[in-house]
This record gives sequence, structure tokens and C-alpha cells, in this order.
Amino acid sequence: LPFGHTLEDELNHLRSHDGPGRIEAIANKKHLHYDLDKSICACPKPRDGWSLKEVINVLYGSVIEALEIHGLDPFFVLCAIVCKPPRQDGNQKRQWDKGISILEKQIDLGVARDIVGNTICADFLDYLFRDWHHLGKPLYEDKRLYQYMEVRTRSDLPSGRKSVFVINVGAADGVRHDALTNILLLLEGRYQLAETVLFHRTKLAITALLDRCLLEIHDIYKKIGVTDHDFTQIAETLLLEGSDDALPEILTRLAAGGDEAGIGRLRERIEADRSTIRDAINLGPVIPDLLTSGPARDETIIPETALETQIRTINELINRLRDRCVYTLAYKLRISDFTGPHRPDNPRLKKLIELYCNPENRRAFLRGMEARCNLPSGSLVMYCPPNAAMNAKVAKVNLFIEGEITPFDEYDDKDREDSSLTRGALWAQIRRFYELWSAQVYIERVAWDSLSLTGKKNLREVIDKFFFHMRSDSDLTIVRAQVEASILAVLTDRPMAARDESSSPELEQFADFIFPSGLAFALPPGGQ
Amino acid sequence: VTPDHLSESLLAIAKQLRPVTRSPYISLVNLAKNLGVIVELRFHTGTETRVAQSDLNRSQPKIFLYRKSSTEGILRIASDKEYLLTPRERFSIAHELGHFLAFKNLNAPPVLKEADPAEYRRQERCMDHFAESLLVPEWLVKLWLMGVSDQEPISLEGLKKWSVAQCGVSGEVVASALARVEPKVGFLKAAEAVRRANGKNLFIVLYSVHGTDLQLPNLHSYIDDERFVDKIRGTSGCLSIDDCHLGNVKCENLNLAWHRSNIGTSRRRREFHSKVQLSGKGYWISIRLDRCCDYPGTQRQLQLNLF
Repeated sequence: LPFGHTLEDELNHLRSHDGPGRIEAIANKKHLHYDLDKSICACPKPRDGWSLKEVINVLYGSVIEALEIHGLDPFFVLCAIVCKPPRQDGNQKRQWDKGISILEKQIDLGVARDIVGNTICADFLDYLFRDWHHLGKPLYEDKRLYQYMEVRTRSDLPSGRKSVFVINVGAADGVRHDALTNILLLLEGRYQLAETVLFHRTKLAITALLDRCLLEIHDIYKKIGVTDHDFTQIAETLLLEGSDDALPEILTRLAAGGDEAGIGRLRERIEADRSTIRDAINLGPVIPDLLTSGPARDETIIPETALETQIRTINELINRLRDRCVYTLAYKLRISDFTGPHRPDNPRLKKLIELYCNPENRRAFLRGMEARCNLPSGSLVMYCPPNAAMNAKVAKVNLFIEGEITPFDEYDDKDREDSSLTRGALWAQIRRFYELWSAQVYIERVAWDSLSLTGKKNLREVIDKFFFHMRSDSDLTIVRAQVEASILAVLTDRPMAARDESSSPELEQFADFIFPSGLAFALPPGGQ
Repeated sequence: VTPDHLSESLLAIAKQLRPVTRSPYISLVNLAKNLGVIVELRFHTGTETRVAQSDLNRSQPKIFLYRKSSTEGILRIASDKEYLLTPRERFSIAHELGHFLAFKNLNAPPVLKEADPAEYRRQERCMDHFAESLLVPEWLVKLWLMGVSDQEPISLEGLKKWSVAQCGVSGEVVASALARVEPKVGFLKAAEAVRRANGKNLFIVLYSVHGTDLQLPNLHSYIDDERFVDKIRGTSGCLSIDDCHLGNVKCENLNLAWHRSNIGTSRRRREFHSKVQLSGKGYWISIRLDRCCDYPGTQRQLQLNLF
């Protein structure tokens, strides 16, 4: 469960891991017991220890001077190369833009960024070989490709001089096919990594469980009036201080309020709710009836508030995460299930991704489904890859071929396999990447096992209908009416006796709820 | 499982669960616990009226009793906290235990109202019957009847003592159990009202139960026979009526006893608003058919069973 992408880019719970805000948070942290090697730098350690920012500024000040970069410190130069620009307008963004304009005059910033993190780059080569090494299947590193890496500069452009990081594969009559094969091998290595690890069902089920934990925790914070910004700060601080193994403990702390202020707020709210519920337990003056007596009063009762119930559910989810209770796949929507081209630019696919990239929509869908099918709270989790390109961007590496610079996937004609540079191999691989995309809904095993075979089939049908609509012209009222029979079939497997036509409070809470897909929770009057 | 078979089987189970003992009271939370069922009081903020539900699909089944509150929460009811429950909530536990036993022992899952409304109602009646038998078993009713006159209407003070003090249930449950065993008795709970159109007094039946020898008006009937309406007055009283109409039912030779009571009007039907004006007061009325009643066999049999 890497902190780098999962919680940020994939699940959208935290701000971007490679944004300036995150790196600032890491770089400003003081490390009291770290010091510089005195043979490299004789600077005395600050009283409260070094921060990463201070170390970089001390060690690389001379480099910046040599590059004749004035008015910027080494740490900013580093950030300019490795970070994404700030997303929101404001002072931070203005300062960033100002610094970048100074820097661009002194160095080829685009080239530096491409070398560090883009298509075939230091970041990619590092994690590809490292991940395979740690998986026990080390990849062979053919260093020949590095010899083909070049920086090409054009000075005859109207906009002035421009440098680009490329892989030189030679002239048209002497194409270095081994370079292309090497790129294809890297792409294949990346694909295998995605297929066998990154998008493996078990990993996705656990990621989805982690997502559900955070969705519910975030909801608690909203209920006690903590802003999204503050939640992100608290979560980030706790996560950055912990290790991967400490994740369950971090989540538990987060669920308990995170910091002192949060814990206090949560406690206050629970106490207030408890007091209100006590009034309902010790019923006030009731209408005296000859044959009924008023209930007894008891001030020592400690009821469980709704917040506590939700925290209990969260702790149960955290325990499942810690104990690797992998949920079972209940529903899968593949890219091939979409009408239209099976590509990232499929408008329906884009719409679905946009829908479920929003954590609030994921929670709404899951809570709605649980209430609709009488499934225990926390029994459903979902995963929806936020990018349908599925990290096939290696194929966009710039080639220097026939004296021109062209991205590989544009040069290799996708529609004419026989005459293309790789005889269709590149685009076949890219399409395989696209086919990796699938949105999935998982269910807790005990809940799944409680359903009969028919119930399971019907649950799939219900999820399918409530999850997303392929056809924008379909009448949602009719779709809703059609799915009712499947809902009843699932409910038959989840027996819930009801006296005097009592319904669950959840059903009333969701009575007017519309699923993110647009389908209504409740059957419209006369809709059956 | 046919409805008849379900009902009979559940009554047999209720008999097993309530053998003849000295105590008229049964701790339902304890019974639920022994059966592996958790009882929770759930506080909800919804506007709908909800009474109870049971989730039978869990590894540990749960009975949810609902109470309105301005905030949501749960109280798990332990055996020593049963006194917090109202008689209606206790009846609900018994009712839901019926569902649990039907599901577990008789393979009869609860019927969804949405799936089959008629079957749902039939099953609910079955469970009510089971709950009543569990809370007020037949041997207890017979024991009570041994101590009352077979000529007079059953005392409403007695009904109160048996229901609230002894069994921890509502008067309605005990009244129904009495009428099940004693064919000549019946009970009405009637709200005082004035007909808006002509200003005449009348009673609206809010509860009605009767033995097999007697006929009484149904729920929500209007009783406007002056021979009846004008005589039920004051805090309490008793009376014999030779002949009158109670709703559409013609009744003869009735011995009545009544007791004034506050009647909650929150659950009154909407049509009452337009047609009648409810006073918020009403009466519990105990009725006995004034004929010679002789059940020596029953009493002897009961004595043999008990002693």
C-alpha cells in the first residue's frame, strides 16, 4: 500500500504526493539526530536539527551559483524539477511561476523534468527495476538504451531555442531496432507489473478497503465540523510520520479524532448526543393510561451514539485491513463492456471515471447499495482506476528519428500494423494496457456467503444497474422499476422481519437519495 | 410451511418456553439471550412510525426496537435493563422472537411486505399470536379466571394488575389472552368524540377483542347508540344493558364495567379530523355476556395440571 500514489492520485483522499505542498511538508521537518558528513560540509548542525530543505540549500548552493541562478535557493530549483506546479491560484502559485520564469532562462527545465519524471525517466527506471527485484523476479537491465538517450536542441524555432530529451533511434534507413525492442521490453515489464501486482485483484480489494476506511473517517470529520483542508492536514501528518506497517494504527488514531483538537471535538459531540439519547431512554412524561405505566428512569445508562457506531464500523474495517480480510469480487465493469472505442478517450468511460474519482460519490454509492440490499455497513468496497490510460505513457517517449522528434506512439501508425515501425507490437501493447482498466465492487465474505446463488446473481445485477448507465437516453424510471425484482431477490436472502410494516431508518434516510449514476434509491410511486 | 402449521408449531414452542411456574413474568431479553439473539433499542430521527425489526441473517441475530429521538443511537439491552422497555416494546421482542424461531426451527423466513402483502399480514398475525402466548400463557389466564366471578365483567383494576404489574405487558395483550380463553368476555377501548355534523356524542373503537360467544364492534367503528353512549359516564362504573347496538353489532344482555382513561390520539385516523372531534379522553370497557357460564371441566383440568 504505497503512500505515494494510492491515497493521492488513485483514491483522491490527500493532495498530490508530488505537489509543492507535500514536499514542503516533508522538507521542513526537523531531524534532531541527523548530521552532515563533516568531510563534505563543515557547517554546524542547527540547534533543533537539520531539515531536508536546509541540507539541500547548504550542500548545493555552489551548484546554483555555478549555474548563475540568482534569487532562487537550491531547494526551489529541486522542487521546480521534481514537483508538479501548484493547482490553485494564489500567492504560492504566483511565486512558483515567478521562480520558474527565472529558472527557465538559466537551465533547460523541460529536459531536466523529462530526465527525472516523465516517460522513460529516472523515476520509471528506478521503480520498474526495484519493484521487480522486490517481487523476486529481477529484470535484466540493458544499458544500451541509455546510450541512445540524448538532448537535442533546435535553435531555429520562432519561439527561440528549445531542447528536448529524446531516444535517438537513427535515420529512416538505419533505424536502431534494438532501441525500439528495448522500449517495448520496458513497456512489457511495466505491463506485467500492472497485471500481476498493481492491478491484481487482491491488491485492489485491499486498496478498496483502505479507501472505505478513509471515506468513513472523513465523513466523521465532516460531522464534527472539521474542514476538508484540516482533515487532509491531520491525515497527512499522521501518515508521513508512520510506516506502511503502521497504517492500521494510523487509521485508528485518525478515527479517534487525529489530533488533540479533533479528539476533543469528537468527545464533545458524543457527549451531547448521549445526553439527548438518555432523554429518549428515560421517556419524559407520557400520556398516562389506565393500563400502561410510564417507563422507569435510569440516568446511569450509556447508549452508543450514531458517531460511535460509525467509529465501531470503521475500527472493524481497520481490523479487516490489518488482518488482510480480502473482500470477494462481486461486480466488475471492464473497458470491453463499454459501448464505443475501448480507449481512454471513450466519453462514457471518462464520465464514469469523473464520477467515481470523487470520494464523496464512492461513499454515496456504497452506503446506498448497502442500505438498498440490507447489507451490513462496511460490507461493500469499490475500486475505480482514476486513469484509463493505465500508465501506458512510456509509449509516449520522444524518439529522434529521421531528423525529427516524434512521440513513439504517434510515429508507430496504430491503424497500419503491417507497415508500422514495430509491426503493430507497440499498439497491441498499449491496447493491452487499456484492457487492464476495470471498475470493481467487492463484498465482505460473510455477507457474500449469506446469499444464495440466485441472490449473488441478483446482487450483481443490482450493482450493475445502480453503478453506471451506458446509455444516456435510457429512461431511469424504467431502469429503476426493472431492477426492483432483483432487489427483492437479494432481500429475500437477507431476511429482515418487520413489525407493523416498520422499515429501517436507513431506508427513510435514503428515501430521496439519488445514486451518483442518476438512479433513484426508492421505487417511484406506481413504478412497479 | 403453511400458515396453520406455522401458527400451531409456534404455539407449541411458546408452550415449551413458558411451562407452568409461579411467576407470571418472563424476561424476554434473557430468553432472547439464551436463544442467541441480541436486543437493541435504536433511536431514530425519522418521521415514519417504526416499531421493531429483526435481522435474522447475522451470525448473531438482532432484534431492533425503535424509539424516536432527536439524535440517533443504540442501546443494547442487557437482561438487567429490561425495565427500561415499555410493554409495547416487550411485546415487540416476543413478536420478533417468533420470527426468529420460525426462521431457525421451521425454515419459515419472514415474508417481505413488498413481495406478498397478504402473506405478510398472515405471518404477522401468527407472530402476534405467538407473542401473546409467550407473554400471557393459557395456564396463567386460567389461573386468573379461577379467581374471578363468572357472572361479572372482568375488573379493569384486575386487568391492570395482571398486565402491568404481573406480566409487564399492555392491557390489550392480557385482554386478548382472556378473550381467547373465556368465550363470554370482551374488551373495548373507546375514545370519546362529538360528531361535527350534529353535535351528538359517540365513541370510536380504538381496540376491540371478544370471546367466541360474544360479538363486539371492530376497530374504528363508531358507537352512537344512546342506550350505551349516554350511560358510560364518570370515572368508573358498571351497568347491565339488555339491548343496544354497538356499531353495526346488535348486542343483548351485557354486563359492563368501565374506567375512564386518557386515550392517546396521535395514531387516530385522518378521517376522524373531518368527521368527529376527539376529546382526548375515553374508556376501557370490560364486557361479559350475561348468561350462565359453566366451565367445571376446564377448571378441574387446570387444577390437575397445576397441582
